[in-house]
Amino acid sequence: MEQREENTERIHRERRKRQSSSIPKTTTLLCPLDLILEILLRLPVKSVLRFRCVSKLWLSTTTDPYFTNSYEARSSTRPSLLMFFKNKDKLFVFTFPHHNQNSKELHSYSQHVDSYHIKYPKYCCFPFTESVHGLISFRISTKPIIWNPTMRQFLILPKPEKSWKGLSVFLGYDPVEGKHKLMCMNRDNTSDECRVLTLGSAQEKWRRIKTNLKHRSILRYYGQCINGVIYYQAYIDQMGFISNPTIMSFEVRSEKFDTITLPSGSFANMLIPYQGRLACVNNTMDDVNGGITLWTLEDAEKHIWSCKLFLAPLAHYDRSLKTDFKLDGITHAGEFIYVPSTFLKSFYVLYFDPKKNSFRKVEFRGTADEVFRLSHGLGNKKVNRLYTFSHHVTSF
Amino acid sequence: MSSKMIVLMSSDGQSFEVEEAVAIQSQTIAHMVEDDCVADGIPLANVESKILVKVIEYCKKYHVDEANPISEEDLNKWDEKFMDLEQSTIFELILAANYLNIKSLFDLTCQTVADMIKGKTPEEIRSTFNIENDFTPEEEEAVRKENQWAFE
Repeated sequence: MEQREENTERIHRERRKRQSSSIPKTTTLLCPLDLILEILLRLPVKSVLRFRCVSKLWLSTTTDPYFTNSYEARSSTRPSLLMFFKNKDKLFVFTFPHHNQNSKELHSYSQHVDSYHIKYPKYCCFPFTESVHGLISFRISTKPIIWNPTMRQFLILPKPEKSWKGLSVFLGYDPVEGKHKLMCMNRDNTSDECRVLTLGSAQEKWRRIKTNLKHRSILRYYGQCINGVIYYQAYIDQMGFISNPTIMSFEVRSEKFDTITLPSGSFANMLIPYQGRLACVNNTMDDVNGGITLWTLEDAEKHIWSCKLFLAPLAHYDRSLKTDFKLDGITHAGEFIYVPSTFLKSFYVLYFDPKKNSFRKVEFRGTADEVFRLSHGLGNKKVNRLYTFSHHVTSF
Repeated sequence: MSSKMIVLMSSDGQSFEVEEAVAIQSQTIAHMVEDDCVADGIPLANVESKILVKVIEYCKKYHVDEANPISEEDLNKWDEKFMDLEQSTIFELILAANYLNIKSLFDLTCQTVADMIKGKTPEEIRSTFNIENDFTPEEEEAVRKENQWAFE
């Protein structure tokens, strides 16, 4: 009996030895899930989505709000510049990282981090909203469309109101509940009501919201969503008279409207986020190259503004590139971002440092080189009609 | 300028003398120093000597010397060379950086592994992490279809 047990023990020992030597050296059995999570958080979105079919555990981990919220939070500390252009029935989309300011060079080189092309829904109408927590909205006639560039998906929503012939669309994000909402108004008239839809809710239905502030948005200027409030410029109707232009605010969570007097008394050329707050950008003088005045809303409740003058212009013509650039936003680090109106092979971004009063150039090589152009039938001319979003973040 | 030394003891019984200022980049060690229980040396039951050597090398490099500042570019290059290791060693470094609570090393090691695996197929991931595929073929296909573009 003892002999047999010894033999069995030996056989088991040999088997264990064989098994352990057949496991390749690169395998580890010791990576706990929370550390795997840390690795997953540092992967590009494409890899995360691909690894969802590794196992049920990996699927549930990467679809869990804890993971997606953490991922999105990390991405929002480093927004990128999203650019796309249309060609026939496709959108060509590129994501560029904002270039590290520490490089002291006046002309640096970098690479886009992601690029793809996608068919867009027929009859899609641009313009569009800003990139709000990773989502962008356009429309097909009077139906809004939500585009998620990260997930490469379009969502066509029903008409907010059948009788409306034109649509103003505003996209907002409530950071408290982590929800996106669309707010639409009739483009053609002044109105005291809007339609609101919460994305991701079980029944995506339009709700009617009324307001005392009868107004009409000014379409030439885009809205901005900052800290859970949508801001846009509008005319207010006071007792039948159209008043001076003003800023309308729509709080995404409470769905309440308010109005804030424009600090400069006239239209702002743009509304942008600045240091986490709403800022109005105005030409300091009549010349687009002359410098800007930045009004920052320091206190959203008491409507207190601060004012700064910068030599950064609204528009800039770069002689060496023979290209027009326009101001698109301001980085976390305080550099002014300028995007081109066209490009040929390399996509350039200019950054203006207000402390040094100088521009630096970042060249994204190979954005649309010959091979790319040939394979997509893009021809040899400069690409026009670029749409850029300087504060784009990831959204699952 | 006295440089106080402390002794770190690996799980396999080796001792390493390190400047306290260098070692306290590990929050875990920093807390022990604060609690004043380092007199007989600090036993690190979860860190093998082979790994502890690398951790100490990292901490020494990242101990900021005002007189000789290093540029970010040079540090990045050094990081790349430092992380030229076998995958299993890098995993052990992740565990050590986590246990010792050295945030920058943890970030570096996790990012390195992420960069190493980002192009892999799900099957390759399963073999690297020794994970069993518990999907049925239909279930797996359904997950793939949801984001087909990620597989192209």
